[in-house]
Amino acid sequence: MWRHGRRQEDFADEIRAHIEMETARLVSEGLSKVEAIAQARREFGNTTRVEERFYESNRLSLGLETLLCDLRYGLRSLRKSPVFTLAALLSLALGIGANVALFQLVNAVMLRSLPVRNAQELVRFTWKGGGALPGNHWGFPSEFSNPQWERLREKRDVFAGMFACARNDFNIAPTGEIKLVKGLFASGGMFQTLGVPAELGRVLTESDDRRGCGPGLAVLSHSFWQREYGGSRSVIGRTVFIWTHPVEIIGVTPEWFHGVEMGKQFDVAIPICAEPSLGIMPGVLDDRHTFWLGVSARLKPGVTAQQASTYLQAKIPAILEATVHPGWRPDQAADYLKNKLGAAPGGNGYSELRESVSNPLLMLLAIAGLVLLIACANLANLMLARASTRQSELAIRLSLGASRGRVIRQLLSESLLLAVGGCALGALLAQALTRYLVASFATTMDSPFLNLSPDGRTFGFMAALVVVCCLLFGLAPALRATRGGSGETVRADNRGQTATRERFGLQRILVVSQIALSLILVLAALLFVRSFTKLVTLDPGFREDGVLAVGVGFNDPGLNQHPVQALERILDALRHVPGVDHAATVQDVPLAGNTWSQEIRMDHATGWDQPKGSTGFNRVSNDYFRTMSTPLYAGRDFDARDRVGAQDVAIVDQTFVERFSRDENPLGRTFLPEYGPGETSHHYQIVGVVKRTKYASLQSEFEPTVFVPLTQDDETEAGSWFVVHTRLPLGATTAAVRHALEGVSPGLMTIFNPMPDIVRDSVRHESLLAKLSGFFGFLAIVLATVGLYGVSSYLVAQRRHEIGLRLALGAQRRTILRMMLTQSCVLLLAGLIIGFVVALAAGRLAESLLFELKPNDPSTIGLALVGVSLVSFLASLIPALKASNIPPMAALREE
Amino acid sequence: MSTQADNERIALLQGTLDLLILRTLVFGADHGLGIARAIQKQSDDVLLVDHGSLYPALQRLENQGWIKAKWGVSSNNRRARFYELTLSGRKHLVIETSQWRKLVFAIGLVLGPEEVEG
Repeated sequence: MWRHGRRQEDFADEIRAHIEMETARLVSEGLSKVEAIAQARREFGNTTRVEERFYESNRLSLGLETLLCDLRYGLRSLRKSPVFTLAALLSLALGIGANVALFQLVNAVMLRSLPVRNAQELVRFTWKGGGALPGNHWGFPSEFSNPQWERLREKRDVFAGMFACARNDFNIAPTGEIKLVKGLFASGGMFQTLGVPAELGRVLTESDDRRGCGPGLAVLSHSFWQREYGGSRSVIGRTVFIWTHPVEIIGVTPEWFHGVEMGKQFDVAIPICAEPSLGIMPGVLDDRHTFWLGVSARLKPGVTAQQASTYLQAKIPAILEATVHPGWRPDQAADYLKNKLGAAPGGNGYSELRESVSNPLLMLLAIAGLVLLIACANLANLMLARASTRQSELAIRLSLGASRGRVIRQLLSESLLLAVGGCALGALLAQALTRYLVASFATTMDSPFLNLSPDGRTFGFMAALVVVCCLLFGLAPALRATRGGSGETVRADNRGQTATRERFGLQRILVVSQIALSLILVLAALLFVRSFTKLVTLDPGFREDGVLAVGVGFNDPGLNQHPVQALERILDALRHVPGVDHAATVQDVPLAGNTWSQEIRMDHATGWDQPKGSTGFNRVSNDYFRTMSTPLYAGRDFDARDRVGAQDVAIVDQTFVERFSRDENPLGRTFLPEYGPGETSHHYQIVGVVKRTKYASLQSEFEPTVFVPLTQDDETEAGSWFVVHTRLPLGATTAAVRHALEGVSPGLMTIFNPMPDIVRDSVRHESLLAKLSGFFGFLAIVLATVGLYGVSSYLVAQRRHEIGLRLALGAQRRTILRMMLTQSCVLLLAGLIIGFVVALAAGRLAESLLFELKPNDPSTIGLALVGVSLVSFLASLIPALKASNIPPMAALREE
Repeated sequence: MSTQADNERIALLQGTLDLLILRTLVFGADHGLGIARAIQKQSDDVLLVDHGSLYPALQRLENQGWIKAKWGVSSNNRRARFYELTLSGRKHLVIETSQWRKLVFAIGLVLGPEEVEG
């Protein structure tokens, strides 16, 4: 082993030489040989002790030497108590597994960089606020208009490369039912700037992205290539259909490149210049008020993001000046010119997922952390109990000369084994849990793509968990077990003496903190579950049961020319599907993501003035309200009178009436949307009032909503959403509807989305939070109960003799019961108070995640308090009852 | 053997043994017994070195790199381990000595002039 270079024997030699020299001197002074040796020895003292000191001084400086030994010893002693070991490993595995799973997600969603060369050089252009971007924000990242991008890309003094991109769903089915894949509009420089080569063929270049490039060229992702083309190398030159336009495939990107958005893997990338030919957003390339692109750049070496920001800020005023929309009102244009542009670190790419799940994820990670703390507290309790049963063993070790540090190390190595074992099991568990979590983020249409392979950060996190856990549940009990010193612990016989308050101080602290933590977790669980329940039981103004949303695109010249008639034909076909009792069209299906809102002014008798404000708009056909089971409170539904050219009419909802109509009868009133100069204005007359409805999402407040008739729309698009209400199961109806639509025209593009799925998808984060926090809360209360029960039972066992004595001397059983319960209730009360205070302080963090519920909601807090108290009280009642039933003679005879 | 009565001997203050060993070795390499005798002699037999502490102390100093050791032959032809000062040991001695002097001076100030007994 590793010694300081000097061996024990050498040291012994030196001492022997010393004694020989001394003997020689004494002999020369006249003593006999025997006397001289005796005297020399006497003068030197205990040679063995000196040698021992040398040995110890060498040993202490290493530690590694004994570590293996300690670990072997730990393993042996763990094997001797399999139940304890199993319980410890399981609770650790649960706690650590939950933490690792959530960390893996946090890592994948928030921390990982794009897998490209020098990702830290990438910056994302972001608006720094101060102004506004009036107009449409379309798709994702939806930050820049194309006119802005075309001017921005000239300003590249500090950038080694720059690119713009926008995610968009592409339909790749040439005809029939729509097959959506993840499309990417990419500027020509994207692949070069990122440093992504082609695995096959070639990638897009600047010269592919010129205005008028036609339907352009397509680059496939590796996974799409494998999935759709079986990895065939002859794919180059073949065509892929994008919204029914054939596009030539020129290349495939490498397997490691998934696009620039974290959480989504792109399938097909086409140049931005191809948009006009595909006609997904007609005119968007010159449109100054449609913001749909994201712009990123790679910094030149040595340039910082800060310098890039300064540079962009200097260049942006001229660009804004040149891209003002002529249709904006002066105040809108002024707001637009106030915008400031900056460059933020962009190494981790864009992510819509990050924006929506970061907060729930961090909340869950915090909750899982608390669960692990409870598990550690429980384990610390077990270790304490275990240490006290091993007291005599430890006492013997100490009195045989083992130092305290040595024994602590031995006990800690046992904890280390448990922590490592628990972590290994936890890591396995985490993989399953992570998969479950990712699946929970998925919607029916789309599931997130995340790189969850373990990296250095994950392993670092696990190592930190092991160390922290090991210290948390191992150190205090080890310190405690060895504190008494050898003499005291040998004497300390567990029987025959009352446990002192001080002796169980640590256990009390552990129980109090467990109760406090479990109160926090139970409260969190109740809050999230109640918030979720409120969300799903709230009346959104419509009923999703039996409603199927069908998206239909007309890919048929005959239908395209007369869209209104085409919609009528389709509606007619839908109404004849067996089981369908109502069918209607709707521009934006509620809760599905898209909304349309506009500023309006009420046309009151007093003239054009207040009240005015923003309201949601939706365009529907007659029968929409019956299809969605939205009650009509007053007035009429749309009908044949509402044609183009007739008086523009609108049906408004209750919230609209409350906001704008000043307690008057709203029917017959008119209002005017705020249009920019040059646009035709419509005076809408209110002909009906419906129940308040949710539009953008269940989570947002009820907003005023206006419904206008589809039949008065003069610029109907070549497609629409339909909703049908059916009395039959949705699955059967879907098939029947598909068949009916094929009968109308084989060229229809269709997509099906059951309304119950839309609703479920829109609350999936709340559902996940409720489920997981509920599970963790349950786990917390179980662990805390077990802990409290264990400690109470242990205290009873410790005081068995004392209680027996009290009973023998005439104490009432009731007195004993009260004594034991008071002891637990004090702990319970302390835990509840601490937990309550901490929960109130931490509540702010949960506020943004709750729906119509405050974190300090009194009834929820009350429920949590009562629940935790009740369970904890029961956990301590059973041992207390046992204590009061101790037969005094039996307890005393054990002496 | 010793010329002074036991009650006039003083037990070494903790930490001073290291300093005395280093000081003794200024005059040249010596073995453990030689060092002990030298301290005893230099202090007019007031300081008696406990052999049980001497060797661990020597080992400690060696580990710290202030002295180094090699086996050699003593004046009376016996094998012995000889210790000598290293350069850093010499520097350490200078620092320690001046600190010790300051300490003694300061303690002297606190205790005041020696009182005559009787």
